[in-house]
Amino acid sequence: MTKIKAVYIFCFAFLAYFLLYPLAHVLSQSFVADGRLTLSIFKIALQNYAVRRSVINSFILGIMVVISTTAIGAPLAYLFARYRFPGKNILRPLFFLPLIVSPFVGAIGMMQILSRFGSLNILLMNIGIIKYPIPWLGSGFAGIFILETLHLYPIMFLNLSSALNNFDVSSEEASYNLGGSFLQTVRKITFPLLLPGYFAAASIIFIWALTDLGTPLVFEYRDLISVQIFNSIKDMNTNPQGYALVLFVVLITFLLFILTKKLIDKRPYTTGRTAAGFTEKSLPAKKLLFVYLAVLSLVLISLLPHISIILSSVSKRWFFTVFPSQYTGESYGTVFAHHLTKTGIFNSIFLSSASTLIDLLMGFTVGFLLARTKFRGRNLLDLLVMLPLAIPGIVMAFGYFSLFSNTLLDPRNNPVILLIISYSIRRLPYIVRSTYSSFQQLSESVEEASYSLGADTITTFKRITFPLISPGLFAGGVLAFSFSVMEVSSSLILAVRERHYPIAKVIYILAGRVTDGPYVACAMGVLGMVLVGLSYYISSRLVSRKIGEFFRIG
Amino acid sequence: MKKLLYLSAFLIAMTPLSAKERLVIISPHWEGVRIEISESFNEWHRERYGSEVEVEWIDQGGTSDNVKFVESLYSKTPEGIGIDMFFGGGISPYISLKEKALLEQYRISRELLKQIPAFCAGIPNYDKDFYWYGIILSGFGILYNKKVLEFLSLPEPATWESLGDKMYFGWVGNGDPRHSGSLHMMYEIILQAYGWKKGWEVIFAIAGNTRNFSASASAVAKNTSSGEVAVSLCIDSYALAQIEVNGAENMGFVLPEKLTVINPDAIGILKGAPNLTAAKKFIDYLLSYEGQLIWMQKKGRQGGPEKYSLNRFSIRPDVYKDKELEAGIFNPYSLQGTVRYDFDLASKRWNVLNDLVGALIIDPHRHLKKSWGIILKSEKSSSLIRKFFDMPVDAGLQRFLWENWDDTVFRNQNINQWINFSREKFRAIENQAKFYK
Amino acid sequence: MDILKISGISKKFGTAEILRNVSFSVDEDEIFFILGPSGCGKTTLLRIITGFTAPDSGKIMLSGRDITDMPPANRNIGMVFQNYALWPHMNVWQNVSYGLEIKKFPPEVIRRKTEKVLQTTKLASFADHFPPKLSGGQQQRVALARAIVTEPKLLLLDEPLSNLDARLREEMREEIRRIQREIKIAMIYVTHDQKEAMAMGQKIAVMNEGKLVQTGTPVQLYSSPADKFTASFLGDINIMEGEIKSISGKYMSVMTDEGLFTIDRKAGDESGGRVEIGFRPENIFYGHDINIITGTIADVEYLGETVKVNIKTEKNRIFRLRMFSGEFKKIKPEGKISFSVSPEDFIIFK
Repeated sequence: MTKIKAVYIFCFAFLAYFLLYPLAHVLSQSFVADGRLTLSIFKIALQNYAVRRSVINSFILGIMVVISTTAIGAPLAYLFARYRFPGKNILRPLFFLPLIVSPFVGAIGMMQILSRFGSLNILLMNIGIIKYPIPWLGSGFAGIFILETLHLYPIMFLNLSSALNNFDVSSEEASYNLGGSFLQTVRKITFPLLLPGYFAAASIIFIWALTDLGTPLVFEYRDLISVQIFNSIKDMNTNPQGYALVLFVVLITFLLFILTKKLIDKRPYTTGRTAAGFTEKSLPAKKLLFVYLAVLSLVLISLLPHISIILSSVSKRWFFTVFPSQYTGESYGTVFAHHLTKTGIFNSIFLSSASTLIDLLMGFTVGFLLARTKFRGRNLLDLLVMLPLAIPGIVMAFGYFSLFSNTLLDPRNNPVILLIISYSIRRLPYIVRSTYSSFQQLSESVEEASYSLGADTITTFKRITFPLISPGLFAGGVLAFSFSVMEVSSSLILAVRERHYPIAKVIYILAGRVTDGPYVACAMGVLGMVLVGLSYYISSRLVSRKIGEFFRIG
Repeated sequence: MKKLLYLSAFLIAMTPLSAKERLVIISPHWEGVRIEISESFNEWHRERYGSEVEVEWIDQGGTSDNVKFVESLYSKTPEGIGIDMFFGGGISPYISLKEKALLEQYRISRELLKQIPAFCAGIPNYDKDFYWYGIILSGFGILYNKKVLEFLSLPEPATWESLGDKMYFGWVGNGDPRHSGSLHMMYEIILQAYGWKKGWEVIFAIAGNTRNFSASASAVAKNTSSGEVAVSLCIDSYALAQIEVNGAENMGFVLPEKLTVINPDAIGILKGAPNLTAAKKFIDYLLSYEGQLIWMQKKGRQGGPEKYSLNRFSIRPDVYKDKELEAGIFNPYSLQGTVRYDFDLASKRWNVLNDLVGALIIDPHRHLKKSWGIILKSEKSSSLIRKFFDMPVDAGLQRFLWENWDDTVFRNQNINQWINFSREKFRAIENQAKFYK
Repeated sequence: MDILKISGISKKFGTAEILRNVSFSVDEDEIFFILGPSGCGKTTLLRIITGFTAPDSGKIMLSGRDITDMPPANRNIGMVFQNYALWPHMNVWQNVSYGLEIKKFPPEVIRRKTEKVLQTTKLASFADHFPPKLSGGQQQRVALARAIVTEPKLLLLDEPLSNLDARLREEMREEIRRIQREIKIAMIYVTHDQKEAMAMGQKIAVMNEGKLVQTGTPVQLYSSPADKFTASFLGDINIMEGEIKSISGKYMSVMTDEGLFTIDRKAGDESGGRVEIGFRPENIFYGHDINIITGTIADVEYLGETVKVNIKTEKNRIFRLRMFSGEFKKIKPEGKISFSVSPEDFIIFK
């Protein structure tokens, strides 16, 4: 028992030091000036027009992305949950594809397509539809909006699909049975039942869009909170602006997190599900054609970033043509020969392995503690371990940078440890959740049966508990690994020295470089895409559960 | 528990404990430069000292970002920041770093010093007190995409002023001097070439035509070759790199005659440098003949870099006579009629100018661009143009500003004032335009 | 000889008293039933016997050894879990042989014993099947096989049949009894189903609110329950309050609001004391001249062989009766009905 207590204390200490302490530090830095409690930095920050506009723009971006992902995701989810049509099971996995390319990498490729003399405009001009190039990317804002929408709508789709599947269609039928019209039923029954799931997805998407750093950097758009925070890191000792903005982000995400939790806790709607066959109506042939057209063009559009980075990665020269005019495999060679990319790959693999290892150990331990022990403070640990869901990477990285400057862990000297910890803390909730639910599905008597046959704790763990928990654990681990490899914001902020650059930062640096930089960046992006795709595949094989659960909240 | 032990052992193994000498340099130079110079330096070092130096490069964005970063570090640990050298970004940062006593003095050998002219086109090539040395020379000019200009039936630009011509509306590439040192130089050069009042008019007009402000100078160059913009403010090295990649038939670069400067790109040793000897040797190397030739020679050729051409100009006139160089290579020392460049003024007002450009042009750029669009379409534009060129600060006030610029409150107050001034100004233009209709 | 002796076990969770001073003993070769409603503490009692939960006080002796503080793994008590707790990643053979492997038997012995126990439980042909693919009854057999393969001295069964449907349950009752006879093992069989306990039990302990209320054979428990709880838990009963009016020899008279009843006297009953008296619905006669109750038919529930009839008296009291269908046919539906209860069929509660 005392051993368990020690483990408890260790977990608490770890999370407190690397999660709460940096947050508290940012908080105190933003409220305390000259040893006094003050709100002056907010005044200074908000007086600045650029800061004000960034806040407004970020908000608008977040809301726009939520609206656009809803507009795409909701009908799609309804279609897939309620209708039967041939090819459905082939189409469904295609909607995972957008998730395997981080929008910031996609943006590098999309520049080739959407820029003024990019493929799209050249194509349109060649066939004579337009005379003058259309500025698709606008000031960059439009580009960010497009890329984030294309990346995030699957999250909406997955969440709404599961919400739709999780309630019994008979609750809709009961409404029709009582004389309710379609609209009344949707308004009074379907919508309220979907609301918690929808709100959860919408807040993930909102926070994601609000704190995405890589995409605006690639599109050179600076009037967003995330970019302002990123820029403020360079002079964080002399300019308090960054703290105010970080605090602002923390407040918003917290608010959404708490609201979501409240909403989900308050309405534990599980009406049980009906067998899939009963809920699906078949689609009339006329509508079928339309559906195929819509779904396929959506798939095609969502794959544009993938196609563009693949094309860029094999192009030697892509100058004012629809497709590259010369192809080469050289970029891939460069990835494994160039010192920056080589160290980047090595660093990422090392950092991600280490952080995944920590995730597995911590995640398993905490999952176990939560599921199998009844200490006081259990709820607190639960809350603490789920907290990273509400803390964007950019906030954590900022906190680390500010807190650990001029200490042994100073990221300017060696960010390895901080990178590992920030990667692992960011993914910890997923692993904890997946082990916790594995433990919950595993009745305690399964272990007791082993004890009663004379097995000791270690044997029972080795032969019974671990084999039963491990698929969920490893599925989470594989995903945590690939997420960490492609982790953007903490990599961009914490890796200061070239020899510590992880893949994401290398891609960012290469993308902005003259000569072959963007092509090599895209080649790395393609490798990253393959890695992430592969890990989704592996983990979906490991667990019978759908992989989509990792993108759902609540 | 065992696994944790292994992990920490691995972590410790990861931290460098090699006996190799190290050198930590903060620099905005792109990694082509970093790779080639590190290797060539090590070759040079091996020959003379029989060992290698592990060169580590730090990058926080552009020159201005690096200055902010370094100063922010010194504000916490004034005795030293674990970084040995500051490299690149013109000479202005060095003048202000020297003033703040953040540089170490190093006197190179007399013979070496003899190879370097004290001035190039009126600008010093090294510090008279030996706190910094110019290493290469940079020219500042205009990069243009011939394909785009052809498509738009537009002429190739020749002067800064021409970038403000309405025919280039929406097609000019520009950057943020608050991040990039070379972009800062563009603004400084324009101000010095045309004088305060006219200079700002040119800057405003260019800003009106600007599509967007990139954070880095290399991004501006990249956007020009991708056709996102047709013409852009560009430093010679990036321009030459783009021409090398996309072909001279597609891209062009021009140094505006009599309106630009040649500016040394310097290096200096930072106060409290942990690897002082290596830092001094690095300067020796950079000023040596081979350390100079590598900047000019194309990749793969005798004395040139291995993989990436650096496209920079040597600070040593003797290097230009090298037989291995392509014939007819441009020699900045031969450039006639440059701007009389006041580098002292430039370095003093570095931050003020950045904040002015930021507050008057970049932050309100959306409104600025709209107003400029209105003016270009309007028939009664002269009064609107006068309004558009309004400045909240005149030349005489500058000194007062830069002398007090370290006061955060004062600085922020002014910035906020300027931003509000711009907002008012552009709002007024929009309203007036409505009235004319 | 006692194989297991439990004395004075108490357990609290927080302020809730789950077990209060529970004592009993189990003989070799017997099936000892613990019967009680859910929440009465029987599962906790089992967990204390297996060692998964520690008692606050009390002692557990197994074959004369005090095992109160012994870890579960060392107790050698077999357990069949309510949800079977089979290991889904192991096949039937692996599930069953696990305990033998743990005890480090030589492979040959493991093979022989596993084979034998699979034979006994009629699972031989399913050895390489995985538990999730098996039917409920088969899973139950696997759980049983796994628990007995190590030949424990005592086997605990926690509601072993509650997850099976009615017909399978009857079949498995027989199976468990057969296996118990075959391998001669003491069992503690916990259930909340009084029919199951009555049908299978030789000795049943009734448990309520953490206490062992009464231990006895099914007949003892049914006909002379120690309290109202046991009485009503084991079957329907009609209860009236009354006062002992007089005592004469073997009998006593109890006055209730339904009249005077003559009842077999038990030791300790005193004149003037207040008692509750009850009788089972099936213990009724017609044509006797004492203890007559009269009422009208309020409700009838036809069960095939028997009929449940509710009678309403003039005092608006409902009596639940049970009679054979043949008897019921003789009763006129509208008319009054009279019946009587034999003095020896009354159960007295104090």
